[in-house]
Amino acid sequence: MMLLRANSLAKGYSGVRAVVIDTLCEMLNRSVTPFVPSQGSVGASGDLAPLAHLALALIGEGECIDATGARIPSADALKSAQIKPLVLEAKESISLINGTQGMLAVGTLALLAAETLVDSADVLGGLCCDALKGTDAAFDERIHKARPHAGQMKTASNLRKMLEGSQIRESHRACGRVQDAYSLRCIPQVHGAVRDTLAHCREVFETEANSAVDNPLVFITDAKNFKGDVIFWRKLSRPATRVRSRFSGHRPEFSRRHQRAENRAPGESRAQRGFAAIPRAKAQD
Amino acid sequence: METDLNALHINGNDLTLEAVRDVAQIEVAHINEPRPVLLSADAREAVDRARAVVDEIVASDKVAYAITTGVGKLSDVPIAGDQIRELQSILCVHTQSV
Repeated sequence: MMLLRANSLAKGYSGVRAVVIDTLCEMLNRSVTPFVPSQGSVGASGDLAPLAHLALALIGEGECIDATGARIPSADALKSAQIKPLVLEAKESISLINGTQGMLAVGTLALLAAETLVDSADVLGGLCCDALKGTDAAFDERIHKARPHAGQMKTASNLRKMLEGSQIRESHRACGRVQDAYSLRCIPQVHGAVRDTLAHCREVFETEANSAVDNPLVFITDAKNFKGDVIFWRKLSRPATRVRSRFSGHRPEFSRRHQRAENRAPGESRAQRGFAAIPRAKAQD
Repeated sequence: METDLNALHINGNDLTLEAVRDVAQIEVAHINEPRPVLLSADAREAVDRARAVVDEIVASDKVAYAITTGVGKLSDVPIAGDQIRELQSILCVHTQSV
């Protein structure tokens, strides 16, 4: 989350001082890890709560996790790492807390694990075929070229490579069975759908990881005279939220929680609401 | 550290998910050799240029959302002088308790 946030700020659209990014990098490099609870964000205006815990550590407030996993005051963690706590200047607080890097960090690690799992699943599928004396006819390249979804083609190719030269396969070639159960012969179609979903996630995550996501953004129009446009916008967390919803299938519950958390007035549309940080905090007070 | 060939130079444009994993593993499990993260020189220039725009807005007291105003429903409240710095820590402290 720290790296992703630093990278987002490094694009030069957020208007923070370089020292903010340098301090984030220094914390990473010296293993100063802010304590961030796993729950608390509803992903509305980005990951406000997790990122605020990160920002707190930067200014020497809140807590960090030390090498033993214990929670210690951030001020102590920064001091022992010889990092000076930041005093944030105009806009820097919102530039730090208004983003998608909480869900993106968790999502990235989950995606990479899932990509390994789907490869493992292909290996298991190949082993199952042999163990159950299945046929590899259903993995024929011509079948999959006739329905050329990328993930399906990849899994079929993996299965062909694994079963090529299998002595078990050769041992029952004359068994007379015409075709196997769906659970064997549709492995490419099923694993392929998972592969296509993960590929979509990768595309979204890679783009999001290299995006400026806070609000407003600064665009230079006249560098010599320090002139630029500061543009206000909304809906910053949408791409990442959409992917998360697809995975979790909890969109309705998410929406209800979100609604409660923001104390939205009945009939009030999203467009009528302001940015959530201050009003939400006030609602808690 | 600047000469470390293993260093990850970030610029906001070409970070890979694998690099995220490398850095995260070091942080969480100390699996690999440390991979230092540094702001690239080009990115530093872009960051400085954008910051100069923000500084100019503050210095000239222009109204710009979240720079010289509050945020959210308080976006019509002007913030100036010492309040600007104060607002930064208020935002961090309050938001983390939601």
